Amino acid sequence: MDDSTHELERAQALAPEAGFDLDDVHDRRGRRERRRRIGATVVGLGLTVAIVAGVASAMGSSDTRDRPVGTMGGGSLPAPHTAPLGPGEYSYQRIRYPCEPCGRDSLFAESWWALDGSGRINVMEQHNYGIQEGTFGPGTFPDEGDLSAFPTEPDALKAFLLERSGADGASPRPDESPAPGVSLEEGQLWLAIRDYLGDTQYLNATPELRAAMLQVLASAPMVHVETGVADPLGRPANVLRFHAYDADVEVFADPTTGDFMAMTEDDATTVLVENAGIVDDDHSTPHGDQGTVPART
Amino acid sequence: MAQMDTSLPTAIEVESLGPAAFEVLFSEERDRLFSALWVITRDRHEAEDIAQDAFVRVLERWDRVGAPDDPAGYLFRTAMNVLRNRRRRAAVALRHAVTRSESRDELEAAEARDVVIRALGALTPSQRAALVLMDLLDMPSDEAAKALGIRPPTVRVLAARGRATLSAQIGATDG
Repeated sequence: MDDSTHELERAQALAPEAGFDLDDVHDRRGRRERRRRIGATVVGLGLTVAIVAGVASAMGSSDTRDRPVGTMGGGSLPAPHTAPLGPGEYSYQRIRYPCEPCGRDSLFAESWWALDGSGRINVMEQHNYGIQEGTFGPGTFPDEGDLSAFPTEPDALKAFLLERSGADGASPRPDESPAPGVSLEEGQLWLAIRDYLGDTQYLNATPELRAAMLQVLASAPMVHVETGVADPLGRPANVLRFHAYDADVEVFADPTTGDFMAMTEDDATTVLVENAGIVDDDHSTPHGDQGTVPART
Repeated sequence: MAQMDTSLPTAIEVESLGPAAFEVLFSEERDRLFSALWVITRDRHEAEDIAQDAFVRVLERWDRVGAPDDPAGYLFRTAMNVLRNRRRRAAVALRHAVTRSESRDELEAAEARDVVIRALGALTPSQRAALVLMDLLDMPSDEAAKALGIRPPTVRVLAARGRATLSAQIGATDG
């Protein structure tokens, strides 16, 4: 530990000067409060619209009947059709973290993971991003936790994730609501699920588990589900939209398999799964029915 | 930047500081928090953004329910929460940072002149965060785990892997 402490102190001493002062903090606080007030007003207007539309519908108005009302969420995704990963098979993903202003990707990598904890990671591009490349024997694939105990039935998975997210759980989450008027539980679910969507710390999340995660997320009242859209690569998709932790988030799911395809935050694409599926060896890419996310064309 | 005391201070005697307590916390902790975040994120603008957000959240809590028992500890835990929430939002932050290329140039210049900065780039963000909390800020593993939203054994594993990678990277360069 002493060696690393010394090296870290050396690194810390090389940090540039902080470029903000107390006035910047107060200004930022003011902007945050204004955004919060605007958000609360929008939620209030949404509730009003929903109530008015509901009353109109109950009174038999043909104009509003059978039409989605207001901005209330809590939708659902079509049931996914994803086969579980079997022994000897590999879960394959090709992931890109775009960074347009950088002129290059933060990360462009592909991985193969098998149930025995073996596999391979191939890194095409990385910038300021630590990732271990190589071929890994059984039990040595780099991940940050065994996911074999995670249920893939959405209700059971939701209960499991919430238990893990609690103060005494395996992965405690901050007790902060994601947005005004939105429950703490929804925020904890989102933070818990986000770690498994295209994140390199859990390349051992299977397509089946990712699809179940998105089913759980779609059931949250803050989430609006829209079907028949296109993802950032133009592929057919369903989308989950919500506002959490100061960001407008879109999560795209494959309309057939339910697997995770892409994510945008504040209109910037932060994660792209360019291809995913289940293959027979650690050098193949999915073809035909093996694909759970179609390759970009 | 001058070498600074890196251990977490004991709880600030808030009552004796009066209404200027937050300002004292800010002046005492700004550079330490920012530089720790810079080591983790390796990005000046992201580190500044997270540090400011953490101070804002501490200030909001301060006004709402009073000072936390350990303001500096609370500040660092809050900063780690903000960091977790943004781990993959660098691309978003980039769009708002007009001097971003300057930041990248700064990092590349630092990498060129110092092996440890280059070596830290081989660690995952989680490993860097665990190492900074445990080995630089001297947090015990249960406190670091709470700050990072993971279990104490996990943070110890992350830190151990980070130490091994750092040592191997620096050894490879020296050799």
